[in-house]
Amino acid sequence: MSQANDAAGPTASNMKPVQVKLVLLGEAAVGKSSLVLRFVNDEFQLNKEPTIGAAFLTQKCRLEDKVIKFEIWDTAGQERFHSLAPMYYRNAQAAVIVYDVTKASSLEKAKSWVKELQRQANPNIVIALTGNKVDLVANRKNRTNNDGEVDEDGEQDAQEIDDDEEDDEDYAITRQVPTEEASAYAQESGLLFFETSAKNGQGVAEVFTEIAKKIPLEHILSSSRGARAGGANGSNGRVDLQNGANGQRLGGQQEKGGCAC
Amino acid sequence: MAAHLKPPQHVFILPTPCDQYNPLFDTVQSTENFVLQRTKASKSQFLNSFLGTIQNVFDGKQAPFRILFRRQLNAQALMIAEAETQKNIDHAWTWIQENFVLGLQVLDDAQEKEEWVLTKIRSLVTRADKGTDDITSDEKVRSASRAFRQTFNVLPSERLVSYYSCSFHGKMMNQGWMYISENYLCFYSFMLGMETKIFLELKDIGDLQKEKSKRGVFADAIRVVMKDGREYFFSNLFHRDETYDILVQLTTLTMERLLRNTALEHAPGQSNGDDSESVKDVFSVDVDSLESNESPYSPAPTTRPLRLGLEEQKRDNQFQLRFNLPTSEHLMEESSATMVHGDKTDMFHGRIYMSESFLCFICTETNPCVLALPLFTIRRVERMNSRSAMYALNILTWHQMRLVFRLNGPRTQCEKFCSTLKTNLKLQVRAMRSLKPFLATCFSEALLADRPDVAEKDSGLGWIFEFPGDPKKLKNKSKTKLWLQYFKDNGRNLTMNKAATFPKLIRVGLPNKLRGEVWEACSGSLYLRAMNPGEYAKLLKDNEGKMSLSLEEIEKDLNRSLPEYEAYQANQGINRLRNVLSAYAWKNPDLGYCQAMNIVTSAILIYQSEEQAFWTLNVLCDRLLPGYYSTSMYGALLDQTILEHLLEKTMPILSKHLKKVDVQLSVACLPWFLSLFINSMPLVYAFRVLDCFFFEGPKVLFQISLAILKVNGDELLASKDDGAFMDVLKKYFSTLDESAFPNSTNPKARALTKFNELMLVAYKEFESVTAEMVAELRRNHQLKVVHNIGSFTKRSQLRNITPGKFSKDEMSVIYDRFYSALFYGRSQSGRGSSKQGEARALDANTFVSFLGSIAHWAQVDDDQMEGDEVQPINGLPQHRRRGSTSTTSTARERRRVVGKHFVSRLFDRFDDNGSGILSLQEVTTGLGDIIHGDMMSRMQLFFDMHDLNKDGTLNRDEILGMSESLLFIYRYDDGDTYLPAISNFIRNAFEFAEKVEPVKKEEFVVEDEDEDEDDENDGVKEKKDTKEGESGTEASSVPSTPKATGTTPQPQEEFEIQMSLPSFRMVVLADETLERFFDSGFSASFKLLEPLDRQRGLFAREVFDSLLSEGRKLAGSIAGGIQGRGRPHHAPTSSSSSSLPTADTNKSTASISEKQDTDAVVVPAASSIPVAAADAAAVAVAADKTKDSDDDLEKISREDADADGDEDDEDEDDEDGDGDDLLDEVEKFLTEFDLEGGGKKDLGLTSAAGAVDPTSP
Repeated sequence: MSQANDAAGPTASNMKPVQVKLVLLGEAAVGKSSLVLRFVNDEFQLNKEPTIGAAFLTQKCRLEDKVIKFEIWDTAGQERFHSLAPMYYRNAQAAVIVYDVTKASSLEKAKSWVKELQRQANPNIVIALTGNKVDLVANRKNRTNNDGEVDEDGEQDAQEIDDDEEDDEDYAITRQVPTEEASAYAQESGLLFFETSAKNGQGVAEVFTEIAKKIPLEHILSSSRGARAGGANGSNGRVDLQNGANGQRLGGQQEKGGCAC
Repeated sequence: MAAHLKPPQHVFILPTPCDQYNPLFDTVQSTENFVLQRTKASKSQFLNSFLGTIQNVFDGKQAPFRILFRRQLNAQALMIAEAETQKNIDHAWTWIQENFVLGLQVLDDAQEKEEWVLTKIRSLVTRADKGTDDITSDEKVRSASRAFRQTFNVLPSERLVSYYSCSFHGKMMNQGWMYISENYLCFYSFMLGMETKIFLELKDIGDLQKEKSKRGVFADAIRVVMKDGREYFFSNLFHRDETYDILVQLTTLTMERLLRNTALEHAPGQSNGDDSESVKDVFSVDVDSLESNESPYSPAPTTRPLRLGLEEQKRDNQFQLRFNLPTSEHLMEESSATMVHGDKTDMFHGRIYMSESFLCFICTETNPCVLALPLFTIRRVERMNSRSAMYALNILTWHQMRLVFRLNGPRTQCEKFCSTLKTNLKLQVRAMRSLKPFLATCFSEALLADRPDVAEKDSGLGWIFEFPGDPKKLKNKSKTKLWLQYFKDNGRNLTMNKAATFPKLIRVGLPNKLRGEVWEACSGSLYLRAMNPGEYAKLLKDNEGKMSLSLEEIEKDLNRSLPEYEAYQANQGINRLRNVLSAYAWKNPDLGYCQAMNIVTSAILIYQSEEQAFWTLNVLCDRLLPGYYSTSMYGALLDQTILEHLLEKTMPILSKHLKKVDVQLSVACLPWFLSLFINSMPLVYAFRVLDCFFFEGPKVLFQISLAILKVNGDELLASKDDGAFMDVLKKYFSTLDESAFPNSTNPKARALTKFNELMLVAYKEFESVTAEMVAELRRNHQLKVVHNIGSFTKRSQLRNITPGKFSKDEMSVIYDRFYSALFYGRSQSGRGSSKQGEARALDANTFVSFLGSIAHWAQVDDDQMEGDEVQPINGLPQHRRRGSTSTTSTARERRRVVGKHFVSRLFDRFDDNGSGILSLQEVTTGLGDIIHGDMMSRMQLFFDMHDLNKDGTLNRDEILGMSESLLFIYRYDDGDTYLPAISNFIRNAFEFAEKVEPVKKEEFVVEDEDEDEDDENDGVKEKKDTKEGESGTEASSVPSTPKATGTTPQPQEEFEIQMSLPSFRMVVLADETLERFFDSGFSASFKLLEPLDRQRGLFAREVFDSLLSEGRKLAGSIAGGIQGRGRPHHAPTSSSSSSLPTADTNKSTASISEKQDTDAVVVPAASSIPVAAADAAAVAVAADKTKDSDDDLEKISREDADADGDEDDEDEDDEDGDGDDLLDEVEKFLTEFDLEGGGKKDLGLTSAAGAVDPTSP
């Protein structure tokens, strides 16, 4: 997987980037900021200052012949910041809703975010549901490298999630959200679905690549910046979302690094 | 009997002087000492309306009946009682005669007599009316309050704050009165027969505006805009500004309660699994606490009018804010004064103030100074002889600073000032002892004593890990020197006078080691720390090992707070941070912990010790940044709104540009405010901002924010979206240390950094942004912000509710009613006692008011669920604490009990998880089951609810319970449809239920008819005053008590009966009315979208009148019908449930008369089902009866039936228009009717059987 910074450079110079406003939502400490940091700077900080209100970051990446500039609003996760969220997700073309695979309650929170976005946000918003911290629940094989650190993040290597690895004994920290459950929910609600590890970078790039693919870029490009508020074109959005949900696994396998993120 | 007579409720008032010979009143009765009067108006309709207008224009309404005490010492009489109804006043009159006359005879002296009467009355009133306005010392408020409560039928506990004459602009101008109470804003006018009533809930007010009245000439109007957009315009307010201020103050209090009520999280800082501990109220603006001087014992004296309390509270708040004092300080004395400082000749003219533990002085003239001197730092006070002023106080402070205050006031005022000072000083002696150890923690002391350092634990992390920035570049040394001199001249820490040079020293930046202490002195947290020694340590110790949601959240963020500062990479820093944040979460569990607090606290901890930082955090959250970190963060949102407003005013072009490109200012600015620029600017500069912020308050944040926008104006105008906008600011913050004018030829200008420039712009160009302006703007915008939060919360909560079949609008109503019930419920039951999770759930009490707000039948008095307190007082007969304004009657009690049981069973039914509280979801589901269920499910519901022993069948008592519940629900309906239906129900139920062998024979007490009522009275559980000879039978008010009194001592065949669900269904389906009830009536009784009048009392009179006439008609027709009707019937014990007759009402009416003696027509010969008959009696329609034999029937009674019957007697000539129970009215009427006809006093009611005809044989 190539790094974001390498790729954005040369291509960005020769074409006008398409701006995509993306918002990250989810319960506190599920790793939203870390996910962004991995995507933007390809780094991981164990102790990242909590986000107050929202942090703003940008990252360019290339998709086929286009350059996309993600404007990322990384929101605060604490419940009381909830009422500020509309300020950030309004006009967003994409949202990444993050939960923590080791914490069942965080998926519930994620679901309520989905509901909120589907009712309140831009109707064509592309939503990706992302289970983070899979490195903590990687199977035994990898766990041997691990000292069983009970901290937020273990020390495993990247490991592609394997759907068969449901045996309890294999978990460093018990996985509380089975992949199937979240995936089924995502499909049913028309969301993209991923499992990621911000710690080791697994799956992070795919999240953004897939989102980029699902967004009607031409529309954004053709319409002026001001019209962003109106959202993307009407009916297509939905259909795309459905496809996205079905095709997410494909995305994970085929498109690795397809966008030079 | 007389001894048992209770003093009537809510009739007696605090003795109020009035004119005995009022032209509006006629004297009805009079004795040597007392006079009973009645308004002339009450006789004539026309006069009534005319006088009503006059009374309305000049005063509040007056009750039509009153009792005066004739004073022998004074021509003026004292009004001691007043009532709306003749009955009530008669009751009071009788009571007075019985209780006072003897006593008065014994006393000779007129003075003694008067005192004796007054004391008695006063104790009666204050006992009964604790917490109402009836005991305020202000007579006018008292009478206005009564008028207010009568007019608007609010709870007796609702306290009137103020009332004003004003006019309301509706279709026409209505001159009337505006009443402002704790929860409501009301208007009443009565002009020539036209009544105008406006009843607004303060919690629904969305905006208040001062206006000019319509012609635009007088500034005497207020516009009230409700949340839903309704507008009300009141003018002719002579005290418009006062009215406005009161409304603002009250809506602010209401709003704070509202925020707590709907907060998405509740008390996150409260310990897990510990719900007994009471939560301390953040918004300690508790109205109750205003009366803390009231002793809990003895009939408390009168309370002060609420308005005075509110005014005082406001004054105290301003006083505390001005001097940064703790909220425990109250303004006690003030005077204009001149201060002379030490041996200098400077004179400061200003005002001196005194509170419990402070002496404060402020001078706003050319030579400004502010001084707040804790009394425990005063070594000596001398009164000096001075030529220019009589009173001069020479004060020597702990730090040997000499201050002379000359008081320039009238002699008495000065004397009072001095004596209060003396008293207060004495009380502070103990606090002086802790002064020395306290001062040891202050770096200023060490500095002056030329010791280099204070103990490590008493200092900030910077002592160990270095302070941020280069001390040389910061000119640390020279700044310290300046401060040293300042301390020498003006005192230090607790005794420091903030003189003219003080702000300058602050603005150039504080020296590192002094920074923490000066922050404390500026913010006032120094006083809190000095006055609460040990509290910090205790909080930590007491809560050791406990966990809470907030603690978990804190733990997550510990490693994420200023991680680049060395101390926070080590345990030392982390531990301190954890301690301070957790201690605050324990202290204020309603707030708990909010992200951003960690950043602020970790910054403060560099300069302050743990304890210092803890108290500074307190001041930050409570006073400097109110509501910023609360669960709704309304304070932060409010200030963002204000910032936008200020931007629009000061930089309209930029403001317009931002709107055009659709950039929200808060996306950039909110973090500045929440974390006080700490994670936006480089630390060194952020601390400079903090220096100013602690000294000058939140206005600094606005000034600096505006300055940032101004300085970057050009670039911001060029940015087209929020991304670019953010980039500009990010870049600016990272270059704050660069020269602002790098190309300037002037080296001084070149040396000016961007930060210097920023400060200059902030102070010079935004000087106009003052603390007062910010406070004013906050007041003006707060309601809107809170309502926005409210509607956001509502939306997000409703999203997570499964609505069942409810529409969006219906859900919205359910939500509103749900929270409304919680809101008022909370204010009733002492704030601050809520447990975790309860904030968003109904308990038994709030459920009653919730149900009452959507279903008419469920409207019951607020104290329904409480056990009535019966307490003996001063040897006076027992009486209840509260009740409605009418005499409490047994029937009313009875109905309450029935209602209570019904509602509480419904509550249990709704409470799926048995948690004892109902969530919004549970309520929604429960209501949905009823409203959207089918007829069968509703019958099942009723069946289950009344099957108390859960045996799957209804026994006798349970069937009766069911009928009582039905009566309860139907009680506002038209009597002639439901009464027969319910009597039918009972009859059919008993007929078709399966009979089983008797279980408990002793349940039935059979008494001989000849034994008279007294015996029965003895059997009564609850004592009540029944008029002798009038009461037929007596009853307990507890329905489950199986007790019946029969009158015919005949051998009984007693069967316990069991009715199964199918039989129940059949019985229901047999009756059209009941069928309709279960099919649609009951579900339709829940009104979600149509407005439901919560003021049923207002209409009681009309409804009563119509009922009365209809009742008369009905009775007549029945009596007529009976004439032609046949004889009574067979004994139907054999009938089985399978053969339910499809009887019409008349037929089934007939069937009740089972076992009747054919000749005696309606007398059930045996009491095998006495209860049935009696209950039928309770519900049945009367007929004219003349036969003695009827007596027997009437006397077959069960307690509840009797309770009702008895009530009738009691209410003999009641004219009660005050929401007294309508059913009772019907029954009462029936009694009267009966009395006219038969002249029998002991007939509570006639039975349905009676209808079959007493006159026929």
